[in-house]
Amino acid sequence: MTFLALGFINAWRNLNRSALAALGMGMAAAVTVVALSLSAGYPGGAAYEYRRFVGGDVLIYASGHQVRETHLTGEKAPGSLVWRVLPRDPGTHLADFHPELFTVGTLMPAGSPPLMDPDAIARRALAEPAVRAVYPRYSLPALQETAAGAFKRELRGRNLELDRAVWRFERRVVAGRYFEPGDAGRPVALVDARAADVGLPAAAVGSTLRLLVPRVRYGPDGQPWFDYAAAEPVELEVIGLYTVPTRWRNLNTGHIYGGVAPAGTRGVRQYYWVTPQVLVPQETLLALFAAAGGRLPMPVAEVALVVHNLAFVENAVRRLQRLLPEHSVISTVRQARLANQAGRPERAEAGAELFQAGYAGPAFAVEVDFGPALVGLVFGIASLMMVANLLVVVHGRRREIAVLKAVGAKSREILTMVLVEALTVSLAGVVAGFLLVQWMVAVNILTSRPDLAAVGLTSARTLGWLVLLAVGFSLTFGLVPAWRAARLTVMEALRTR
Amino acid sequence: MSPAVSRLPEGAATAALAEPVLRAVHLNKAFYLGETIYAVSDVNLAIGQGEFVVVTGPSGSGKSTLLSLLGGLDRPISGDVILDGHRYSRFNENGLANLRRTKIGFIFQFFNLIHHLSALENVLLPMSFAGIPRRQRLERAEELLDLVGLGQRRHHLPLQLSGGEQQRVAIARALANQPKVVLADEPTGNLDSKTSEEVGRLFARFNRELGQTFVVVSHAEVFHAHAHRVLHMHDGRIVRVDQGQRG
Ligand SMILES: Nc1ncnc2c1ncn2[C@@H]1O[C@H](COP(=O)(O)OP(=O)(O)O)[C@@H](O)[C@H]1O
Ligand SMILES: [Mg+2]
Repeated sequence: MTFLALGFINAWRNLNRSALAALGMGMAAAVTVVALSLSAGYPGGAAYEYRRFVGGDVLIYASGHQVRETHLTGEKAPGSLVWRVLPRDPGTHLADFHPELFTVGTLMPAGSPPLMDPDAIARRALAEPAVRAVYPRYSLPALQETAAGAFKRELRGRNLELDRAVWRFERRVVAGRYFEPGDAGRPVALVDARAADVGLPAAAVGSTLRLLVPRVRYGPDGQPWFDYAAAEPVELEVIGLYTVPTRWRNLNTGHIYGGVAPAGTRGVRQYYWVTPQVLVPQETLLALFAAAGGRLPMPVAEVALVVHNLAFVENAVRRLQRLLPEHSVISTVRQARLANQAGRPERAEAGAELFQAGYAGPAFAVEVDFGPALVGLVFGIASLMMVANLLVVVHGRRREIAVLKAVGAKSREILTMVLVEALTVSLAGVVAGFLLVQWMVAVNILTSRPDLAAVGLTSARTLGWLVLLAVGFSLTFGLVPAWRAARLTVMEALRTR
Repeated sequence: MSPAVSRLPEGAATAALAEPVLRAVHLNKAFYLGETIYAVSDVNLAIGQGEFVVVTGPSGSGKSTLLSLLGGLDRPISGDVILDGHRYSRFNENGLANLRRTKIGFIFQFFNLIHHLSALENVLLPMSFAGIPRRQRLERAEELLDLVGLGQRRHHLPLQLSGGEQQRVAIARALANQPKVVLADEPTGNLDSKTSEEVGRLFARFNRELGQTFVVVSHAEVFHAHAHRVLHMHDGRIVRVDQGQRG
């Protein structure tokens, strides 16, 4: 007991000299955090490509798509579970993630509001401190008539500011360019470069896209509906083509990974999420809605939220669901995972393949797990620094150790004392390193670099691993200096001043 | 070394004491530095309960080495030490450490306090090692610091104390576990004559009033006044035994 205390005290009073060793451990910890979160699957940025396209970390659907316990107990909506096929028109990502809701239907609470007032949602959602931004998903149904037939398209408004600052959507533009601030309100559009993959007409940069937008009418309940009989033509200039690469497969191993395959990886099949969406600036969409007879503010079927820290997104979702009981709240990551389980939302023929791959595979893992080797290396280096430091420290403390032995300390106890010091210094370093990464993540998020921030996703488990590594390494490597200290001969140390 | 001296009759240093608390039997310690140097050579010694023994002799005569053997800090090449009935040769390192923490108090020339611990904590240390309960420990440490006249300075760090004061803390620490014997190696070697006197008086007081056994290596006359016996060492041997002024 005494020697544990002495070890702690020694670590503390010697902190300035041990700082380098602690720093080494800290750096090892930082690298480990990154490596662990890499192997835990965050290089894909935890469904980052899905989040980028959806434009949010959390999705709020107007209708209560999720049957909750309160519905079953009848507390909120007595006896009101109904089988419902959702209307295709309000257009949400739910249609992409879960098409069955729009064809087969599902059991869900009756009486849910079909559309939301985005401002009201924003006000309530922003009360949750984890929420950073609210992104109403403005969309209009549209038809594209070509010689080959009529195609259902969907006009979608993008928030240019968020796209630039948070999502860097411009990186997914493969031809032409992304919107510029001056494009707000102008009839310009981005379409999926791979539209032909799902049987839609291909479009070229610079071409004109002709769509039919149905007239917006209002029912007796005040809800808008779309009158296709009175559709009017709209012309948009295609300024760019984008793709949404979501997952890829290593053809050799069969493993499926999140995001885009690293450049130069051989034997890869990249999967894309192709939708009939026609992206326009949000302002343009609102103008089109007004021109079609819609009244502002435009109601929405879906709101996307950007959170400060994706690590705690599920907690935020839980609190938001409590704040918004009449709506359905889900994280994009979870939504993507649910869809992934059914081989979606990538295009149909890939779907079967992806479905066969199942979800058990490391859907969000990096290809080469260099983690263990890297962690071993950095901890090895840090441990060597620790040993060098301890040897110097122990040498400088020979007299003191001799006195302790003269007073009756056993070799084993001196060993304990030095090991405790080693342990304390490495644990301090490791915790500092862990916090450093947390801090870097925070800075990243504050400076809008979510793609980097995603790397730092850390957990109690990561910290647990770090502590384990620190304990293991410092005990193993600390043995040499501790042994030296324990073996010290008292008289020699006490001979001289 | 004169033959006369080396042929000192056996038992001269083994005073006629009823119950020796500490005994050395044919104790030898050699160092090999090119040639073999006997730092302690065939020393026989018996120290009685409550005795105050001063060991003196020229530098390099083996006093410190003898003390370290008596304290179980070092192993002899032959011979044995018996403390309170315990033969050192029968103990391993742990056993010797146990003996040191319960039965022996050390006092050194350079005080050798733990610098980052306060006076009080220094005195508490051997008692913590011995597993004495916390309250009892504190009581005893405070009492001892009062006895050495440092009750007011118990929370000072060693470097905030003068040499004499540090040595008094060391004395309190040596006495903490009520040892069978206190071994002091030149305890006044680094003190001026006035503080040396004080330390001498303190030793004497603990010896007279508490019956504490002392073996003190010192050239200083201050201890002779309180000694029962004065042992003279030369070349590793005890060459003369004088009666002390209390002998
Ligand atoms: N660790 C050691 N290694 C080599 N020689 C030593 C060692 N310790 C003591 N000696 C030698 O043993 C002799 C006695 O030393 P010491 O006991 O310190 O004498 P004193 O305390 O009387 O001055 C000296 O010659 C000294 O050089
Ligand atoms: Mg000496």
